[in-house]
Amino acid sequence: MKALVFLSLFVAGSIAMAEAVPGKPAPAFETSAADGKTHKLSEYAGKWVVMEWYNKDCPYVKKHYGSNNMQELQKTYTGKGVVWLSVNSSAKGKEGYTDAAEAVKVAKDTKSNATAVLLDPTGVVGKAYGAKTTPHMFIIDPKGTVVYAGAIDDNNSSDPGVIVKSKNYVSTTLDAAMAGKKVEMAATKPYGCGTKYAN
Amino acid sequence: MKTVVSLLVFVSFCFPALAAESIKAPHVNISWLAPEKLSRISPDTIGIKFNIDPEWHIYWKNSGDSGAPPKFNFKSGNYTVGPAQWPIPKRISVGHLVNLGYERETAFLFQIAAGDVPGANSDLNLTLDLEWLVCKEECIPGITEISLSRPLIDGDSVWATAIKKQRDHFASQTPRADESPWDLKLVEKTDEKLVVSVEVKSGSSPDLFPIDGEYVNPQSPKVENVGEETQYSFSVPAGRGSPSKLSFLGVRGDESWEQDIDLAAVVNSIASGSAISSSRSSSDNSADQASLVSLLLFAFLGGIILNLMPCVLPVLSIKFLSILKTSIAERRKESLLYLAGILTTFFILGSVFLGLRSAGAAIGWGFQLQSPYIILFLILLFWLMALNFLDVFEFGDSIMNVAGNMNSAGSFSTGVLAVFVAAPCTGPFMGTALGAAATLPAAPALGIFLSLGLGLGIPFVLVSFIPSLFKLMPKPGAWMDRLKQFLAFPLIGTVIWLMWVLGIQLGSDGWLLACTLLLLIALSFWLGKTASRVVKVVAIVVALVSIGASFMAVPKVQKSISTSAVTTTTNSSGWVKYDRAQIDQARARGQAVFVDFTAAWCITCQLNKKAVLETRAAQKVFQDNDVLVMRADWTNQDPVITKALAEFNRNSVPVYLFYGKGTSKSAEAQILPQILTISMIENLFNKKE
Repeated sequence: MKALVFLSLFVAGSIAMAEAVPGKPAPAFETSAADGKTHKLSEYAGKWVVMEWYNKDCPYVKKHYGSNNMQELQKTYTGKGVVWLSVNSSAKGKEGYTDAAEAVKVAKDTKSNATAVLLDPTGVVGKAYGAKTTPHMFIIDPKGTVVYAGAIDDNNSSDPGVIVKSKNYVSTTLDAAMAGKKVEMAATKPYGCGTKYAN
Repeated sequence: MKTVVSLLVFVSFCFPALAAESIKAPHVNISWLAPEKLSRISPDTIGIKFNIDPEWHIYWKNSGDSGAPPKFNFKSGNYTVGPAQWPIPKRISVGHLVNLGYERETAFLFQIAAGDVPGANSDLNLTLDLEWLVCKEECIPGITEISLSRPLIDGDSVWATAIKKQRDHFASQTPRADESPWDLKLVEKTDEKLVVSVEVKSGSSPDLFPIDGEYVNPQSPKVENVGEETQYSFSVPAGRGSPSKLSFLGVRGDESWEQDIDLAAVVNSIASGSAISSSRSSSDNSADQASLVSLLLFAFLGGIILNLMPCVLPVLSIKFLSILKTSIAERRKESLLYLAGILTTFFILGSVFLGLRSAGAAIGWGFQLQSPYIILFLILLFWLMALNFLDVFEFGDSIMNVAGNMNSAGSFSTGVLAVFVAAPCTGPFMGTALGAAATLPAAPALGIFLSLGLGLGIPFVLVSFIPSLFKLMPKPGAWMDRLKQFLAFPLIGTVIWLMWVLGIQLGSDGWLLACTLLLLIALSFWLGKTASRVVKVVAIVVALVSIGASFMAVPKVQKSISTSAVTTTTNSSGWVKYDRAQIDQARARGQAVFVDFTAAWCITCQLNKKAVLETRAAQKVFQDNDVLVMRADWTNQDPVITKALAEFNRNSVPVYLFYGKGTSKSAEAQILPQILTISMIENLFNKKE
């Protein structure tokens, strides 16, 4: 009996741990966004998609927004036709939670250039992708296959001063993948604050 | 964070010359665990202590699912500080994540030595750039500067009892250096899990923490007993590939040990995603007839070039001198004997090499120079030859008459000698050929050794046999004596160099041992010059006793040094000791890596090091391009390095490896030529930009 309980827990655990894995199809999602619309992954078929896990109060997110690094990346790649989705999986009452109105305001204040800010307070999208930290970055190709999952860059310091010296995995991956070249590193260990899912 | 800044401003205002010695920041208090007075003579261990608010935590070196480890950057000061030593972490669940870190209090420890650093006479003054992240569910990063000033004293460090007690408590939790009470082995590695078997040698089984979070998830492993051993099953993150080895921290109670698990075998069998895929293909083909022929040719060419290397040239010149006056028939006989000496020696060395190889020993070319006995023997031999050349002594027909004189035994032994002294000079072409010999079956391997010997001996034979070539040689005359005397100096130079090698192998005691031997030998020959029979006997006794005693002393000296750390040639600035895990990590980050496989007894290596690698120009190129420069020192037997060389089908030094920036194009390591130039180093980077 014990073994059975254990087994079922284990199975449940492994389902909950389903992730967006490079080389595999990206998990489908359908969720509302700050713009009041509903966004589905399938509507972006044929386009490159970047998913950026986001929490406005996390120091590591601030590292990249405060230094304008994230906005620059968003601008560069949305300019090349990439769909950039910032995803907020903070549950209600947790750090970084916003309603739609506040999300719009924050996006405006920080001069975000994201295509949309997805609101995921239930954590359904975040858990489907296995988003562990903010930021945690995923890149999906036009066929819907995950080509990258991991950190935004190679320096896990919270000091914005190190950004210039860091290797940005999102831009190197997008540059290579969009040019039809092989992706150097398809998965890295993400760094940052833990994603603030509901308990 | 604001408080830290304002506190810093406040403190630096009050004490303009000093950063604070303790820091109060949100949810942490940071202070030193340091002695009141620090010993100038013996190294000590200090700590940087964190007192953490309840429910908050900071991180271990692998932070787990989120978070970040503290970063320590000792900036300036008259001290040398070792790497951070991390106490045992715990698994801290935060929501659905697992972090590895510390609650309530911890301290990170550093070995500090004020010893031989300029300015060590004054007080200890050091500044640490400290960065940390403290989290509950939300996180607060901190960056600050913290300083430490203490007087230095000649005796032992003076500690406040309470502080020392805390230091000792945290120090006892850092990984131990002795052998761990269990063996770890890889059972299985798939895309989802990593299974490790633990065989407990004594006591109970450990808790295991993955040291590299890139490849193994921090969650507690599933533990199962399978027969005698215990299996730990870790979940692994998807798609991150495999390193060649993984390190774990094994913890039992308050004690911990760091251990590696070799994944190389599995990584290779999986074929894809291996971090370092070396040029295996060349060894696959090496059985081909065509490539065997080209390897033999390489060995032959390498042998010819060897004649010009600084190790062999003096011996060869002496041999040339000795044949100038002889008749052509005698000359031919001499040269053939010389060649026979070379080939026999190569045959014997080759057989010993293959024998050891089949017995499973990890050895490589130059192995004969990894023995201090051989080095001591060569020191003695070169010293005697040098004295002889300087006409200090007439050896007559004694057995010492190795190189110069005209007799069959002499020519044969010159050949033997040439091979021995040639070992340190791996020239162009040789590396590839000898490397292949290490992996080939016995017969072709011996063929390569002999082909090398043929190349080494053939120029001398040709000059002796072909009159028109011989005519190019200068005519004999009084200059020959002058030249002979002159050649004593390169020989003494060789003695000095070999002394240095022995010093590295055996420490300064080895150097003292050899110098004393040379002194006594010189004394005994001086004594031997007198007419008195008694004194002559004394001279012989002194010589024999000193030789016997010094060789017998080698193992004792060796033993005393093996307990203390052997100082090697790796400690020059910027170069770090060979560590495969570090290479993998740098590669994973896309950082360029340069590896210098070297040995003190390898002259080619030392020349490259002094003339190229350690010049300002090269250092600057490495720094500008953020290259991880690493040195693998093979002066003493080291199976890890032998294995690393074997991956690139080499078993001799020097080997220079370069991995370019970025990660994909560089799965292949680039092997540089054995003789380096600055422009080669510069070109490594120019091409890419």
